[in-house]
Amino acid sequence: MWALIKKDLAVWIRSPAIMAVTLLPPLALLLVLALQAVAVTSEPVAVVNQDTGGRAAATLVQTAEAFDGFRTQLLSPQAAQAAFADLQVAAVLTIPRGFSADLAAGRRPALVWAVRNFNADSTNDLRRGLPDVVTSFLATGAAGADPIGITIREQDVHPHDVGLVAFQMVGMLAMLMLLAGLINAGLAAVKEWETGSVKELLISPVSPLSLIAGKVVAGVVAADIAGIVVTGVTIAAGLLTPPTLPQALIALAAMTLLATFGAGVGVALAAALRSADRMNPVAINASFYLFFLSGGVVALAYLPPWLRGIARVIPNTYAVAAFRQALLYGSTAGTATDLLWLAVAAAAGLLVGIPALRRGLAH
Amino acid sequence: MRAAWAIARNDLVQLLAQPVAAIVTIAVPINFLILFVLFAVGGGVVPVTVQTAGSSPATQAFVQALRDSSTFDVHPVSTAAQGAQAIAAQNSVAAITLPPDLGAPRSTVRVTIDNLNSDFADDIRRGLPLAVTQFYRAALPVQWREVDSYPTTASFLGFIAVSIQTVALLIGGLLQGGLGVAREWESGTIKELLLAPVPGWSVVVGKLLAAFLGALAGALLVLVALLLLGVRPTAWAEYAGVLVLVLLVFASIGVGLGSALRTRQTVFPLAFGAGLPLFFISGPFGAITWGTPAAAWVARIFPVVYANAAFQHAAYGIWTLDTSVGASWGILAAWTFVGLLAGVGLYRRATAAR
Repeated sequence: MWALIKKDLAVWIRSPAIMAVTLLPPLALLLVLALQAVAVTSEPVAVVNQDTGGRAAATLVQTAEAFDGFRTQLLSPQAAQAAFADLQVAAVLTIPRGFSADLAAGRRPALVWAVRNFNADSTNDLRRGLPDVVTSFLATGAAGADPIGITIREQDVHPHDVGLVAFQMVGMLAMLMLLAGLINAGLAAVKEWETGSVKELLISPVSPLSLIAGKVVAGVVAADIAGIVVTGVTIAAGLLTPPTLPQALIALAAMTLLATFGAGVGVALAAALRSADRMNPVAINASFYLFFLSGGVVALAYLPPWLRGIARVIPNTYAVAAFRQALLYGSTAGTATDLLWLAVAAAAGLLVGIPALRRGLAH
Repeated sequence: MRAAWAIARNDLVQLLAQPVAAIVTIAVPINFLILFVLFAVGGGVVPVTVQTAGSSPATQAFVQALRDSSTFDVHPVSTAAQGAQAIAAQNSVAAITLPPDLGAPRSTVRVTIDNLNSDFADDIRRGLPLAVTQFYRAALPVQWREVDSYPTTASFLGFIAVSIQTVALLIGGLLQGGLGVAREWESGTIKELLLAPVPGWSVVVGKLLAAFLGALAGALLVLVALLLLGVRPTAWAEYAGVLVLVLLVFASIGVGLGSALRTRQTVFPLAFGAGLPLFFISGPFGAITWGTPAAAWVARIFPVVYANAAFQHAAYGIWTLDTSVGASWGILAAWTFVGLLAGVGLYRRATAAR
């Protein structure tokens, strides 16, 4: 069996095409997520201050510039209009003439908030942003006594926020592990049919079980190598903080169990499809759909109840939960349960894959 | 032309004879559509529990302000424990507790946030001040008046989903064009095509036609999916025009790629590796000018950004690019010409070398 594992791993290392098929889809998605994260973090906004001498107006400008939800630039009315028309800014906040004097006289001046309402997401971000700026402005006392009596006291579940890309990255890591398990074990098995070497294996004095175990173990080891490399690159890029040893071991256990599930399903697919041309697209699409059905890049709470129900029976969900705790939040809470469910899934994958490949070899 | 049609028909028959490959080519844009649905879900309303102490007018007004904030999906609970349980069970991402003296000076609204990431948590942190200012709106010394550029705002899902049409054309055109030609080299049948008593141009036209029709099937499937999602183009002629032009561009480039690379194994990753990043810097989520300047500069070189803008224009009547409508159509037409030239040129160069 050891010889079979060594041989399959050697083939994997020398096959750039297999590596590309394994790594390209998750890396392409990661790039997508990074680009999308840039699009949703902050929007360019112009501020026009027509009350140039007013102190309250100057404070409002400072408050808007300090708000991290906007990339604010103070422009003249003409420049702001041109920037808005030319799509250089998403919105223009105009502070009217006499704003400070009106405030002092209790005349309740109105700001004008011109918004480029392309879609509900970016528009709602802008709609949420201005009240935040106004609340902070009122809290400075520049508009007199702050009428807002409510204070908000926030308590966070996790010790710190993590970035959107890092959060989405762990979802991608689960997809990568599943895909790598599927592809590596599946292609190693398919190759025996494509090259005709299946005959030699069948007449060799190796038991079919050792043969299948060799394929599965080689697939899982190759997947683990890919997972460790991608995680290492992510840590080196500063997206993730280096985990402690227990956290790293939990992440590695989750990777291995998910890849084992993938390898089990992969050898079953190989027995059914017997061609790399068919195996690759089926494996890529299967891992995509399991990724989507487990929530992919969002938290389960955002999903509709029916999809949450489906997500709870997909192994990716538990791998993502374990990765988040170990790699993002520096915690081990709930990871024992996650690993238990992943072990059940891995066993189920092997129970499906081993008999299927045995039957395939027998025919 | 009969020879071209025969070659195209043969390619389409081969495509249908390999249903898995055909389905995958068609399924790729659908996969991205599903991914976009998840983006839209993540960027949508935030599920929160709200625990109220009584039902005073102030409490009711504040809960209504939360509901009107376009931020929260409010689920009332009667105890703080139920709120915490909803977070633990991943049914909500925040638990808001309203005090009995809500609205009185120095009353405190408590919020426990499952701060999974900064983006999700900031939606809650910014949604609450919106609700608070809405609650106090009549008493605020400062008012504001929103002036929208368009009478209606497209949903986030509707907006980003339209761009999937471009993915279908980009990936479909490159793959169908590239794989169709590369297959001839891999199987050695390119020799037979070259020796056949048909004019050379008819082979290129046949390949282009097959790629165009094959990718068109995928593009139409995506259009059906968009219609099912509720997207209703307001300018069908514009929609069809940009679809045909962009498909011609990428089918031609695909034929050129297949001729240059000659193996399906290299065409496949190149189509994805080059196509998808290009698509995602080309404004599927909003105006490219609101993002990174370097990405916007690169995006302007290629036709994808103009295709995205034209599809948004045809679907919603909005123009998301700082290049004018007329100039963008001119660039798309120029790209069609360049694509055809590149496809034919690369094919002729590859076959002349034999």
